[in-house]
Amino acid sequence: MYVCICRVVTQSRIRASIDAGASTVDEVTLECGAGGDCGSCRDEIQTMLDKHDASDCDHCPRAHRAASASATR
Amino acid sequence: MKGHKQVVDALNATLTAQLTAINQLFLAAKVHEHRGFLRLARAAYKQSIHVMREAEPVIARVLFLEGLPNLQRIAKIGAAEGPIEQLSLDLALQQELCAKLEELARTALAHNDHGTAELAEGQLAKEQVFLQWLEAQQRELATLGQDLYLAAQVHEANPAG
Repeated sequence: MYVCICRVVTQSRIRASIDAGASTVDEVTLECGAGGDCGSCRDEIQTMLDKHDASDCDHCPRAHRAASASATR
Repeated sequence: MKGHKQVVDALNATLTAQLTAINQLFLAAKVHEHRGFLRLARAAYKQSIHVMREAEPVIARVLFLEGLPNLQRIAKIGAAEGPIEQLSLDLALQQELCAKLEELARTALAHNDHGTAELAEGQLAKEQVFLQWLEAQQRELATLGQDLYLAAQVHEANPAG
């Protein structure tokens, strides 16, 4: 589905930029444009980021974040 | 007549769900039409216009209760990449609208606002008709499979309807 209608960005495109290393909504916006206009999809992008954080990401470029998060636990 | 703030808020929450439905279904109708799925286009178009008519008495009720109808706020529009996905987004949208109407009826009754409760319950029954249609589509889809189901959406069943 189209998460960001203003910039015509799909859910899979946003997932790709998260997989590529974007770790905040602003970074996602910078990478693929989603959330850069009216901002009404920013909550949804945040939810996608939260879900990604919760999942196992040892092998993605964001593994350092998961590692540092588990270190503080 | 001064209405209870919670009732006015519940009316405005219903209005938000309605305005969202009007826009989402209007977009869905035009996209279905563009892709050639005329039966789906017709159903979405009719429902969009229907909800717009339903929003009218809700707006009037807010004004009657001396509140300000909020036509500014709209929830996230569910725009799918394909017709099947759109149906599930529309189902979620319709479930949300029905939930808001149920909540409105409950809130109104809790504050002895029977006029608002009656309005909500009357609209709820009508919205459940479209909810039933959307649920039927999911069943048809499961029975027929995607290809057969979509083949059946190319023509309008009843051009006059």
